[in-house]
Amino acid sequence: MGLHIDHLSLASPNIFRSADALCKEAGLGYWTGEWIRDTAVHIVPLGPPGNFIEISGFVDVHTLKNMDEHKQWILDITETGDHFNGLCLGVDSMEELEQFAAHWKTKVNPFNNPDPAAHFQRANGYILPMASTPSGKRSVWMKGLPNVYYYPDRTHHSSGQPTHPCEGMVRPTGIKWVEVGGTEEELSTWLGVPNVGSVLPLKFNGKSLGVWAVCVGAEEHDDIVIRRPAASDAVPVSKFAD
Amino acid sequence: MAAVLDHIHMGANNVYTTAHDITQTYKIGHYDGGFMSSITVGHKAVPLGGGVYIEIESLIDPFATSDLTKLPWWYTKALAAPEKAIWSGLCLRVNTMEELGEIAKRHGGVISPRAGRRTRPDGPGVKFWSAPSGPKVVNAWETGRPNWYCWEDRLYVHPSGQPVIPAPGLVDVQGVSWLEMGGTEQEMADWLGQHPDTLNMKFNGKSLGLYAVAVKTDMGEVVIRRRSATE
Repeated sequence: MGLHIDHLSLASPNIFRSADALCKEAGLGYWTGEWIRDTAVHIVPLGPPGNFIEISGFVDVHTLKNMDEHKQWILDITETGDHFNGLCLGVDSMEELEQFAAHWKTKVNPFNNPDPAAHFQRANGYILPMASTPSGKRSVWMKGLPNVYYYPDRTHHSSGQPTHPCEGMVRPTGIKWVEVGGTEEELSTWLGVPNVGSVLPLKFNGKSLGVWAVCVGAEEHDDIVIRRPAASDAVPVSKFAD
Repeated sequence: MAAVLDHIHMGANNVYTTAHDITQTYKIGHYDGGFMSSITVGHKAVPLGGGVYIEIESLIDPFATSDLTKLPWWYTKALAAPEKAIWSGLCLRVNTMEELGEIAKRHGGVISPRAGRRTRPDGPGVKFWSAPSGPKVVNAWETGRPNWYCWEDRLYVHPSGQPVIPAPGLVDVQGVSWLEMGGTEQEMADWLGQHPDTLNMKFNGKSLGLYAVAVKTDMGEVVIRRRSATE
């Protein structure tokens, strides 16, 4: 596949309610039971070649007693409801991922960290091996920029797990386009990929950086457009310019 | 007809890790139950067989913490417990609203005026009424006593009968064999209006409340101990 869109993160003040609402709004099923530390995700598969929305939010609110910059960012962007807060690209090999790490002069977050708490865990005991880049104290999502993932075992990919049945459920056929802020030139420069708009199905709206909408195809159904404000609409990326 | 055990409430700080711990430790499966009508509380269910389940709940909405009136009493207690989870409620079931009304009346209260609701991930909600309720009635859970429930006529989708998430090595659950309770048999009999033996209760003489739940499985008996709400 080469460089592709893997998933979108939708930050939520209440992942249970947001997943239920999205299911009723769009007819897209979701599955539950994946978490990492104080955060859990409800996963909305979008169809081939393996895309999904992860609706993410705190499920251990006591950890907010010990606030940090990232937690505060999540709180700030979800105070007024759901916001798209991450565009997550994918590659097919560790070599490709390391090339992105080299481009950003950073390291890869390894998929084989022996600490289970460092990984997403599932209710059936499965621990999701996943490598990503860039690595750093501050997530690039806070600047409205995408990161890149590599899964050594795609057979357990989050987009392929069975969903709870819901009324009026559609069968999604994949992402048709993602609307992002900024310009193609800005994103090409960030990724080191010329003309990235011809590589990825992106539309640029010139607004603040981040994801603003996703269009999903569906069998025997009109295209589904899910529109939520980007995180940068709630907290400007300039806050994290240093 | 005597009431039967319906479910056991486990208040937790993190509904995910608590459910995971139970499945990992006791090899008893669980599934995602959705969210409650209060919307700030998430739910996971652990079927135990025999029409009984554990209901694990925790706060899952960070903005609920800014309004202390939305903090359930059991949440603070769960935070203080070693396992970050407590036995916070013991819930019996009757079959009819008439029975529930009689129980409420016997305790000087009424049936809770608002039905409880839970939205399941697969859509259909569940609805139930509880008793006793009212300004003159003690909070049964908080004082270590059972309360009573009557489900909407949907026992065919009772939480104890729903499939768990498949996981390696799960046991086959076959019902609750006994409950370890605080207080005395006589105190409990007076509260219940039926003999505690009908609910397989044992008494340890400590303060009122639930202390342990024994579950029959195809691999032998499993005993789940947590701090009681009244400790």
